[in-house]
Amino acid sequence: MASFIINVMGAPYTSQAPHSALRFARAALAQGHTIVRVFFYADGVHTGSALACPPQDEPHIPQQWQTLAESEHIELVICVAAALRRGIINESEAKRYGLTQYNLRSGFSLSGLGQWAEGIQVADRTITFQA
Amino acid sequence: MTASKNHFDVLMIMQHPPLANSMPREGLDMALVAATFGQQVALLFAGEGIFQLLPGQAPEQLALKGTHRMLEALPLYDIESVFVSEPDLSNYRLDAQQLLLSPQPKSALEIQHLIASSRTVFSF
Repeated sequence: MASFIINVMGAPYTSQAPHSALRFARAALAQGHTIVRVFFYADGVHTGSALACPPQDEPHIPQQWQTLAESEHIELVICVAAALRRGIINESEAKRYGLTQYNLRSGFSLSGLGQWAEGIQVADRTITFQA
Repeated sequence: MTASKNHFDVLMIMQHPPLANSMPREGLDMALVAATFGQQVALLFAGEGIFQLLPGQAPEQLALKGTHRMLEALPLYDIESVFVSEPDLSNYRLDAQQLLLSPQPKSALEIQHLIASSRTVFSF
């Protein structure tokens, strides 16, 4: 059994990366592997939007990540620098920047690249889903 | 110079041209943070990524910061293993000596070894 850190670099519905990563995460867990952390970087940060409204006959990728995180207790970390540039923001950052609204989906947290750097050291394996 | 060093914790393969998208900056950000966490980091510039190392760029004309300052900071973060793909250099009729950071050219076979011997590999 191995431990994984999963990096997601592409945006949902633009890139297959978040969906492939989700399928990989489920398969890994089903086989008894562990997931140290999922790190969303570059356009991958859009996976953490609470405002995505895909058509009903398409998979709701952000919702499915949230569900997986809640049921399996997986840490979903969004790079804060990449997220703020792209308009993904939580309540505390919104306050800091004087914004009245925020859109980070429940189950995701904003944090720094240190979470990624620590993750690749402690995980047995690193897998990246590119845009 | 760390020419003999061949095992890296993090290999960043930089293959996007400068000033066209966020990949060069976001890849370098990762490299710098990994180094801050004590990881042995190497950079390999390949394909159009080689153009990131061309001197004389003027990113301010596009209201961009560019990545040259980050590249210059690499030695401060103990990132001294900077490689460039030899086949791609010759495709573009460039010489490693013309490039910033004087990268060390690597043949296709050496690149294979570099990738195989690195603990993690990221592509930007």
